[in-house]
Amino acid sequence: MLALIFNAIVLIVFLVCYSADKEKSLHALRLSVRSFERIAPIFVVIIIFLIFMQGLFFGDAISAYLEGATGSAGYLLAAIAGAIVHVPPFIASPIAGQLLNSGVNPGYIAALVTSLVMVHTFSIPIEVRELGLKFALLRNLLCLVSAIVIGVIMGVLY
Amino acid sequence: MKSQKAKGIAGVVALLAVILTYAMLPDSTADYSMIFSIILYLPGFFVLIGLFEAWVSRKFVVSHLGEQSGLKGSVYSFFMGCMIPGPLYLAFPLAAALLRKGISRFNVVLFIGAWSSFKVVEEIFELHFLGPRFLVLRVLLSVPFVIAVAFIISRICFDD
Repeated sequence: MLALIFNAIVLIVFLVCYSADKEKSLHALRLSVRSFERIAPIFVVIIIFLIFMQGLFFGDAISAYLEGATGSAGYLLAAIAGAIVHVPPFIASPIAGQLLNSGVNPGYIAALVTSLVMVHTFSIPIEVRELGLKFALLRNLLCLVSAIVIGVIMGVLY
Repeated sequence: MKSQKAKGIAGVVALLAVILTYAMLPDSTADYSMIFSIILYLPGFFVLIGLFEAWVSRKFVVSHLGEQSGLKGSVYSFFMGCMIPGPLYLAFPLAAALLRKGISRFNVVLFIGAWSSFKVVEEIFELHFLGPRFLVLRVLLSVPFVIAVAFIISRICFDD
């Protein structure tokens, strides 16, 4: 639904541009195709990878691990789980909410959610291609550390 | 360019093969809604990148988001990251396009950080399922970290 609204807005923007300058807007479309062609091969590989991962890690598995976790290992486990798994927010939030209600340490959930949104190991190939290897590794590493620290602080404050 | 295209076609064929194999398994429990939600975003997203590259001048980006744009440029970058919908890996091509147009290094990492952590649409889900206390605490705690990550990366990376 959201994707459709997004596409509709872009279409309106494009039509406005097109009415203002036809040539420039067609040039923009050619640039769109070019940037899509550049990422398409990696993109396809990542989607295939995601399809396989769907069966491996899912909500139940994460819940089982986190409900059993205790102490500082829980923060690490939650952050790493969040880094490996890719689930969109409309699936991740209900799972996290369920964990919170079932009494799991809110710090673990904060580490999981933060790492889930900030650390994307599966899309590192795209990040490397667009912004470089050093950038991708450093950003994901720093974000993983941030997720653990945020989790620990949340555990105290919540 | 030719081999690029061939790779693309081979990739699409492989993807279809995988999806078909999974769909034909009798006890297939895989959920494809995520894959479709990604694919649905693609047309609008890449049109947006093309429009951005063709219409927005380098001068405009440099003056509003460049090294000299100051706090205002950082605030713009931050809110731009919060507002544009889409998964994080679509932020990377857009960030690369912004860099080519002259956005400052700090602002580009801030943009990616805001995109990942403070997406307005995603916060609605978080508010609903995790509650206001969790959401507010996580957001307040995340802001300094996002700024710190942007600061560190803008200092260490981008040697080229």
